[in-house]
Amino acid sequence: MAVEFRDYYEVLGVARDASQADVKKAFRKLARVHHPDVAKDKSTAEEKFKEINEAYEVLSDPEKRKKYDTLGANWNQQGGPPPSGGGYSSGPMPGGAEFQFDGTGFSDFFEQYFSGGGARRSAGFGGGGFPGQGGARRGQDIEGDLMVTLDEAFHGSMRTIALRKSDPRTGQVVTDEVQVRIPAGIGEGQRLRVPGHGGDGAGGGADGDLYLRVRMAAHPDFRVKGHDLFRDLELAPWEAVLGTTVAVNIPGGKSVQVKIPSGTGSGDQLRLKGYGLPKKGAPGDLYVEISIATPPSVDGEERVLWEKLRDVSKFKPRED
Amino acid sequence: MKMISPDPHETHPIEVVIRMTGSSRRKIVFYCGKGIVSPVRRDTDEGWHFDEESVIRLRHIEALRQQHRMNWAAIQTIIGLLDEVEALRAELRWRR
Repeated sequence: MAVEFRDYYEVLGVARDASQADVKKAFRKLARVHHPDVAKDKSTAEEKFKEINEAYEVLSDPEKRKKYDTLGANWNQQGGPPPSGGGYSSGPMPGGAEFQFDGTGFSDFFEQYFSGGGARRSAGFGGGGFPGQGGARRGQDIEGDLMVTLDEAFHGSMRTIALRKSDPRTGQVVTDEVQVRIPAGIGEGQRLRVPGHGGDGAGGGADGDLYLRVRMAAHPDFRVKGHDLFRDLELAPWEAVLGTTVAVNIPGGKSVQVKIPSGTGSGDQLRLKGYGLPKKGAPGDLYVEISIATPPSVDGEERVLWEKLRDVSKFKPRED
Repeated sequence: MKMISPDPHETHPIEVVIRMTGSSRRKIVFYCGKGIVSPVRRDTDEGWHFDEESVIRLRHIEALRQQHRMNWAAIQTIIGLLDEVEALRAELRWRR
């Protein structure tokens, strides 16, 4: 099945030789503008946000980026890209059927070359497919990535997933659509099993299952680990030394007042209990990771005061 | 259109797992002994229960064994390497 090439560098607005730091910076800048929570035009924001995320998914991963660069260089040569080293039909599919998804949040291009950490693969080296009674053979399990936003992980959502199966021998394409409820509290790497929506069984065997592997969409402010969230918070040196109270944004566009104790250092973590993702029992926590920001330049009275502080302070950051 | 509500925390009794994976009770007990899978519940009345991840793993093992004719040593190596790849991939995504 033909797929359209995606220019991820263009999506993020970075040069092809951009550093990882520049890629991250560009992603954060764009994600803040197009994040569905803050965008003015909600109708187009979600699609744009997913497009940005897909580009970041590939360009932020050195292995995927290298593969993408190789693909890009060869895309228009002899009518298409080089073999992907395990695309759709890499598994021992009965009859060599090929699969494509819609509704996962990723483009067909991503699905074909980058899903599953390098290539679309069926769950488990052709998981399923084992013989049943009387020569019946269970259908292949199919696995695809499912992009889930932080908001979806908080509140759950409903997705229409379409699996297009094509038989290269006959050219026949069959589309299998199913609505899948994404439960609140779902986390990175978890798999959702959609029974009976994988490859077709043979000889009266049951159809395989469809597995949707959750890939959390990168958020400009929050990182997810299990059910806990992490975010950075920059403090001015005097705020860290003297302590203060600051408003910290939490998911959902709200904020909470957080007391910063005096003597807080770079790398310290403050735990906001229960502000993480929902979980059976108790929700996860939100960790605020502190870094001390310094003014880029000081002059005038400000400089005089810093110099005075240097002269009177007994603080020794090093033991020498 | 059909609506499905997958539950990633669903557990299955061993009889269902045998049906879902094409494995056998004896093999599953063996894999448990090797630490490859482990039951999430060991009810004395209702027997062993396994989660969805264990089902996927058992399907992997059965596919390697039946379709690719691998022996236990090869399966163990591949499962170990896959675990390592997944852990490294998760670490990479966390650091990005």
